[in-house]
Amino acid sequence: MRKVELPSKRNIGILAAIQFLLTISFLFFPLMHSPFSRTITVAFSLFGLSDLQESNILQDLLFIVFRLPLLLFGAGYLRSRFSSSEAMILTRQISMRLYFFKNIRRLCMMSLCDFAAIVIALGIFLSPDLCNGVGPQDIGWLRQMMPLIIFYPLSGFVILLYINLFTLVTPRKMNSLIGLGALLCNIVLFRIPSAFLQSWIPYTPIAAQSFNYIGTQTHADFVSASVDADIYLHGNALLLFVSLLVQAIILTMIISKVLRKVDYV
Amino acid sequence: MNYVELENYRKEIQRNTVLNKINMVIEQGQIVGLFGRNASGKTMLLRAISGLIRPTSGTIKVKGENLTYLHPFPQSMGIIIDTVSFWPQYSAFACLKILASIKNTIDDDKIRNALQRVELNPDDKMPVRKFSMGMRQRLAIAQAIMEEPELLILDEPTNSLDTQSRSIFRNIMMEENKRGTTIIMASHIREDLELCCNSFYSIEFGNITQEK
Repeated sequence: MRKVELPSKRNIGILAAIQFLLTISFLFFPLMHSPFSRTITVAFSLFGLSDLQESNILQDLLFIVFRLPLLLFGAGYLRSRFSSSEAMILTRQISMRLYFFKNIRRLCMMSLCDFAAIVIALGIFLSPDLCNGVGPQDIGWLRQMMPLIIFYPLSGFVILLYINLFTLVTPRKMNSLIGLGALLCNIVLFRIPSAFLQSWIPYTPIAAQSFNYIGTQTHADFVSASVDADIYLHGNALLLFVSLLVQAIILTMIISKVLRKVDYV
Repeated sequence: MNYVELENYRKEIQRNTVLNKINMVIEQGQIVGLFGRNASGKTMLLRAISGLIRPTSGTIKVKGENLTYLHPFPQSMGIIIDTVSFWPQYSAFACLKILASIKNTIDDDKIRNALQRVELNPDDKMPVRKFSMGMRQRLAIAQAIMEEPELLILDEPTNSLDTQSRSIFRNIMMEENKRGTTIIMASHIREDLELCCNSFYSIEFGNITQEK
């Protein structure tokens, strides 16, 4: 019998816990100097990819791993919500419209909880700095990190919407593959929060000194000490924001349309 | 009172007509048997009545109300379609409690009662993954009847049941029918239907005929 996920908040809790542990392990595990990193570098050179920046590819790989809990739990959860064999769940709903909004709300909650778990893990990692008191530099840094608070959960939500759509219109066996495909197609968009994540640590000298961190470290001098400093956005952040928002709206509309016609065969 | 009415209901899936201009009226309190060979369209017809598929043309009314996108499912319905998947790591009681929490109309006592009626122990902590096929089928019957629905839609409900369990099942159907429940059940085994149904239809290649 196919295992179905529990349609409850409990799974979201498990997802957040896994994401928390994953973030903690990423932060505290000196990955760039690990045997794993060296193995990947050797593998790249064996395949003639030594010209590429291994660290960037490694970052992309890590980014996928970082998103994995959300993807797996999202896919499992949605499979159980919409698949035909769950007729006993579907037919107990009052209307598909309410069911649809309930699911969208649950997706939002899922991506927010996932993000909250990351923030808590980062908070623990940065605790040596926080314990030394919050200065103007820290406030500037926090302001600079504000886009992450919008982008990370929003991109997670969009990923879940993609999975949601695929679950409705494609055969069950193909869902995971297509979901992964959508993620890879959007990697340029979705990896930007990962770049934000990378830039968190350099501005926290004590944490950076205490632990090894993934990626290149820059000095705290890069951050404006002034609280009134303009918020600097990495890459085309505005474009990313609009793109994610447009994707979220279009996907929500398509899913709503598809639900009107879908057969639970 | 007509409880279920199908008028020229036609359903095409990938250009194959799976239900062909079905006209059918089921009155409240009837026990209707659908008999047909494998892949004759029985399950598809049950899916149509339960609102799980949308018609290509024609209409379906349950209790006088059209099933549309906004109100796709009959509001008081118990259903067994195909193999029912429960949460394998949970006990029978926990599984039914999860399902009951969707509508939130019944208390624990009714869940316990439904389990006792199919001779499953509500206090048994054994996870569903360790259940035999027969026990799972009885659990499926319990989930269908626990909310005391007005309409029961059962696809091959006696699958995997032994003789004693079939007898229990028939008794439950009679009790439910006495309560006024309309029951539609499909099977490819005629004897299963003959013992409890008072109206018969046979279905072949998506075409339905009423039997006298």
